[in-house]
Amino acid sequence: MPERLKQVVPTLSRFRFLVQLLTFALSVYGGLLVGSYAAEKISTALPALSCAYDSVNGGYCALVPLQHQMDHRVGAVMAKAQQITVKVLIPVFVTFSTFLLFFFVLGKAFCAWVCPLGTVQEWLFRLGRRLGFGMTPVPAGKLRWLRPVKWLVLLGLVFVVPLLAGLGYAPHSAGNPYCDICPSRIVTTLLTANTDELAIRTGADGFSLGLGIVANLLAGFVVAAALAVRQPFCRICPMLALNAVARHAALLRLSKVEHAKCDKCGICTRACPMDIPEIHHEHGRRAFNEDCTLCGRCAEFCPDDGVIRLKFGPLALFSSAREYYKRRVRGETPEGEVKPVRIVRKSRQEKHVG
Amino acid sequence: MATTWSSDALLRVTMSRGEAPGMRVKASVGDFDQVVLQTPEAPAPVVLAQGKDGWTVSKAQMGTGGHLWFIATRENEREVVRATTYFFFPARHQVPTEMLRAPRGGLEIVPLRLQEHGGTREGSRWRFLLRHDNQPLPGHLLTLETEGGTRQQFMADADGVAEVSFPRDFTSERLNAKEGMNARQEFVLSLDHVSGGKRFLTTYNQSYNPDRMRERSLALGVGVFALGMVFAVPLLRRKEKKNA
Repeated sequence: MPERLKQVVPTLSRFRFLVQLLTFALSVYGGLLVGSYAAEKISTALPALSCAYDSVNGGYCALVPLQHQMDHRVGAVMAKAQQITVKVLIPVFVTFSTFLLFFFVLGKAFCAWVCPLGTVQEWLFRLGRRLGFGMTPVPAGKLRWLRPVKWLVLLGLVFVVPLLAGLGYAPHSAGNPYCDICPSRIVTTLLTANTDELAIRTGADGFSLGLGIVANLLAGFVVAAALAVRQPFCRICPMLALNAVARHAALLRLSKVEHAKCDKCGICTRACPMDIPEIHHEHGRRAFNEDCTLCGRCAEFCPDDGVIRLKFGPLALFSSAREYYKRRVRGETPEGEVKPVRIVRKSRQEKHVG
Repeated sequence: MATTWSSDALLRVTMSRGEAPGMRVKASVGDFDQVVLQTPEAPAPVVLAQGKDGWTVSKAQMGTGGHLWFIATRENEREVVRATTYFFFPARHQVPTEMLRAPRGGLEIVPLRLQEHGGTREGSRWRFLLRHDNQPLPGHLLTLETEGGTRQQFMADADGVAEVSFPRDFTSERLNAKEGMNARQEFVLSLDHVSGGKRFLTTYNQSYNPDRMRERSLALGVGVFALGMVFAVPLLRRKEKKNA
């Protein structure tokens, strides 16, 4: 049985692929698979960046209630009563804490294992390798100005603008601006053959029209860019920022110990889909960067035993190992280029020995 | 208040405003002997108290919220008239499937899924089980009447399920009014059946919204999406290595 299991799941990446496949089917086609009511229950509990979960209702993503509570509750009550009551703060706290609870258990693994948009981008990148497109890594210098964008998106579009809409300082249509520009809204609904979200609201106010244009530009850019750049949208995603808040408190986390060879090697950064240089240069807490999606590729491609680990509490779920690394690089380069499959017929003598 | 577009009885549910929390149920035509409420959390029918201005639902009867199913009934020697509707408000709630499909007897229009979060729009399709004394009614006709003036009939399949397609009948005046795409029109589904020399008439009423594509342009959406893809083209070029 363990041998059979090893054949089906020979690597951590294959295991992650199977989990992604399951969560993708559940989060994008969940309404069809488990029925609309069950889909609604699951989607409410899962902080998925998926709008197509339930094709009739539009599923829930953790960012939806956050924006709505800023707009309808906090903003509206502050405007009317000029005070924040327990009645208002409790629902916001509940949404935030149930969401964070998920991350305290699974940590940032949501991004690389569950998020449907993350999965789509990853598959597009693999397609890009097959089609022979160039690969464009994001250099460390550019990461410096790219990293704050996700925090600005979180602060501006998930908290501040909906709050201003609730207070009456922004148009009513600004109630959920992040959803209005979220590429997952367009991409995941398109995957269910629903073109409603791709269509732009020309009959609405100028603000909605503007957001619609930004959304489609962004979604188009992300889909094409993902053929050459690893996880282009993840780098500015507010969900990445939100779950970065709890990463050091989460049970599932990345751990790296100092090793003499690390300075010269750097394969981990080349394998990282987020191009994180810290995993190469740092160790300890600082190696587990805010951009990490816990995909585990750095641990898979680390050529030294026990240097990088995926840990759940005190338990090491996966640990880097030289033998595993040798096996892994036979099929794929750290950057994700797939190596051609070698088909070599065994000689009679080899067969006899085997 | 009676409707001009249908002679059937419609139930209208409103949340109480400016008074004790609760709900009020009114019938558009005629009086009913009783109105009962069922919820997935408390599936046993609860008879509502009748006041001078309809039936009232107390906060305790509303429970935690979610799906509320109302059934109004009047009966005499010749006929049984039943009007049904539901009210939904987002709250912690249980799935209503079991409550809806539970045997009740009489003539019923059972929604296989309740229309929540404004999901009922022009052009959308919804399925209803038609049954009498808990037995499906294959081949029976379900009549749809809408505030927009449509009258259409749908036949139940071999399992007694009729699929209703909502017509595109919002007028431009209605859409250009202040409410715009949030405009609502009422509809009523009615089912007529004679059994044991008695006539049974059951209705189910709710509201629907305009098709979202009325204010959207797919062509523009596709064009802007394609433009976004064009912006990414420079990234796709295979770069030559400097030391190659």
